[in-house]
Amino acid sequence: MERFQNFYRSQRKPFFAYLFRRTADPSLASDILQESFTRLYAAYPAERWNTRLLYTIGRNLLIDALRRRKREADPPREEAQAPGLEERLLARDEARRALAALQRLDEEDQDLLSLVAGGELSYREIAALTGLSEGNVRVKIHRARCRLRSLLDSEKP
Amino acid sequence: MNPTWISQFIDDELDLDEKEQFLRAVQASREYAAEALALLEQEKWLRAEPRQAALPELRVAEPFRFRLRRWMAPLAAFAAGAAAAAALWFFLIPLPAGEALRPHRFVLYQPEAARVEITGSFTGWRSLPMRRAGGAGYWEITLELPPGEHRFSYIVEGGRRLADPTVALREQDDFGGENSILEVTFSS
Repeated sequence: MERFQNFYRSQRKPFFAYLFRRTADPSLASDILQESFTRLYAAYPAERWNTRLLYTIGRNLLIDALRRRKREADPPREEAQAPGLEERLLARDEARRALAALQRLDEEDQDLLSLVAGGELSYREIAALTGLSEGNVRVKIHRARCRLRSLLDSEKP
Repeated sequence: MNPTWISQFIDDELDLDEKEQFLRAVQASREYAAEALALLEQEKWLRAEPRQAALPELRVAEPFRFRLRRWMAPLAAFAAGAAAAAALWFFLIPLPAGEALRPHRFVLYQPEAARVEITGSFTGWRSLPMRRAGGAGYWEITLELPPGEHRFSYIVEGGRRLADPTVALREQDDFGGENSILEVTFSS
């Protein structure tokens, strides 16, 4: 259990940040984080615990949750609606604007920028996670960044 | 001048030669340098970490521990004897190849569900009820499976079909849903 606790402590911050960026919903991100670590613990031996496996599990859970949210048109959770929540989680206006703009990109752009922003995964690892080639990941990440910049620029007062 | 160098620089993905070329490109073009700075600043905001208070506590259930009580001692002795006899039988009479079974634990997180079942090729696509594992929203069932490839999915409250979110291999079923594909080997 101690080995698992250590792995959890080393991964939870960047992994939660990834889930939060991807969902913009701290409650949903927290649920997926919890389930990802639980599944990792229950289904895999300690020798296989690593960042890539954790993100593979989390990403599959995310895809299911986002698909379900879309299909059922889930209303945002109460916590996510509560005024001031984002302010508590993200201190700066710029960070909140970047997160909001990220949610308006298409799914693939959001996924790639969220994965790389954690700083835990290389382009090669992201390629293995997404099924894209490494070269394709490089180009798509850059284009996604440029699209995000255009969105943010267009919203500047 | 390669535009993706800017992102590779941000993501620490440049080799030494590319770093040199990137710096030369930044020196040579004010426009390129401005774009690099703008994307770097944007990335800093995107990478701003949510505050510590938002991080959940770890709540992974410890394995169930069975405490032997005094009145259980005769039962335990009987069970131990039966287990020893079974082990002896197992070693003296080997199972024919292909009939060995391995326990596999299925776990699903569905805190709001009142009922969760599992169905798959190993049940002849009959649904089997899963049981709650504690009070944290997890459902579980352990099934004895033969080695080989198995297809399965979860059924939530008798209707919604869910593939296992932690199993990467999946396939479409005939009803527009997805089944997970589980490979059971002797070593798994």
